[in-house]
Amino acid sequence: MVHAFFDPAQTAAFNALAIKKDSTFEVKYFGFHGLAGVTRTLLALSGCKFTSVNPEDWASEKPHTPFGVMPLLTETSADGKTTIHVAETGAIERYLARKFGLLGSDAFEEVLVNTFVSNNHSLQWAILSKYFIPKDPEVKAANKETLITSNIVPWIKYHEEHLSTNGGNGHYVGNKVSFADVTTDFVIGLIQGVTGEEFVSKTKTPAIWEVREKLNKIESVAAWKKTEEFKELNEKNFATLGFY
Amino acid sequence: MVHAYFDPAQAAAFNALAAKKDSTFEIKYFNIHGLGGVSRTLLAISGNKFTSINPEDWASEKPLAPFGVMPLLTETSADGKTTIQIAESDAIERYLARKFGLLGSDAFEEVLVNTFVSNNHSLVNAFAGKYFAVKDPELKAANMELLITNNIAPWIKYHEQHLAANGSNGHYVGNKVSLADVTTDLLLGLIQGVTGEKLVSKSKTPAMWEVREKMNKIKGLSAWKQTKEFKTLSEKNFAALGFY
Repeated sequence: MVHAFFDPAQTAAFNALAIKKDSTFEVKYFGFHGLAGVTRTLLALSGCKFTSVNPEDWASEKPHTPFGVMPLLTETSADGKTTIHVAETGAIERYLARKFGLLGSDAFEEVLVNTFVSNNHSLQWAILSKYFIPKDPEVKAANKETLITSNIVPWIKYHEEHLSTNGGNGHYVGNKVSFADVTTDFVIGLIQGVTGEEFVSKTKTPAIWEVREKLNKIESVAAWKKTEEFKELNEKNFATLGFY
Repeated sequence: MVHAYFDPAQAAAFNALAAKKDSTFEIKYFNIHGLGGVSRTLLAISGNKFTSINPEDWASEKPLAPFGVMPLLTETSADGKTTIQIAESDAIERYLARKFGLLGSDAFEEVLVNTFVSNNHSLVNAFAGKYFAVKDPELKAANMELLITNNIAPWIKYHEQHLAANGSNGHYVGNKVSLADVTTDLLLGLIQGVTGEKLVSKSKTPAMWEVREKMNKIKGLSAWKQTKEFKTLSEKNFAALGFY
């Protein structure tokens, strides 16, 4: 029997809801940023109402999910009549990015956004898997130097360069916020979690820093980051994973 | 100065070429499947002419690439007048998948394809980080046991389930090949490279195996896999990474 998330019977309803920008959302995930941080930022950007749910009894919910993992997105139509679900971080982020116009304005811009997102994902994975996921401090320390030399420093060089050639306006593509900008904001947090302000800061990497500043100037993002909920997610993220 | 790949002056030409299905292509990458494998498979499926180039002097070309890494895709229009380039394996794969109709037929199907692709990428990342990147044979073996329990076995369970629920027709979405199918085919190779037929095989995982069998029946792909070039890439991949 097909999983509810994948049932083709909902195709028409799903397609109709996919283009709506007035839904309400629920993000099911643990009480920190982790793999849901970018999703919550995308929702904050959109200005749509969203709640974060950290299941009290994940063990009993797990078998009902398509892959036994979170995050999971639930979207409910403005009239309350339609509900759809999306699983997998990559799919959720891309679904929201498309819905809210964060994938560029045409095929060319979409490729550019995807290019920077892809490069960001590579760094994100390297830092998470080599530094924040390992618990052994010796492993962390052993990986740190290589991470800096082979991954972080090149990333900084290329992104500072490409952002500068786009005018240092805090955007990767044209003059509009995109999925690329949101993922870089997340990556800045990861890098600073490893190296503090040694490599990435307003003075050292002005073009990269401007991405964060521009994002934080968006009214709904600024509002989200001032909530108690966000501050708690931040603190728990630092406590559990080691970065803000 | 903006990098040639990102120059907005080419937007119109790029957008026009993005919609064409009669271009010729070049993939610049090492002589293994590695991060270029899925792209080559997508091109083979499309039936378009493509060449693989392994730069003799990558060190001198590296600074010219937008992020100093390969693979890199070059696409030339049928009339030879327009050339565009794309960096980053994810962006390349997504561009080709969209061009050749491998991202589903509507928003719902695209989310489904993205969901399975995302879940597949997680397993590829786990392999890369815990197995391929590890040099110490004892650590590799220890990690492989955990990889099997925590990542591979669940992946097999869920994918066999979802593919069976779609009728075990060798496709994740409807009755058409998609980027999800292509990435699963890659993973079957990775898993068998490490565990032989212990975990995945026609008899043990029939629904998943049908994905590979359906793919290999696609004319352009089966022709590609019979070429000497493909066989060399497979052999070199096995020598370098341990899977075909």
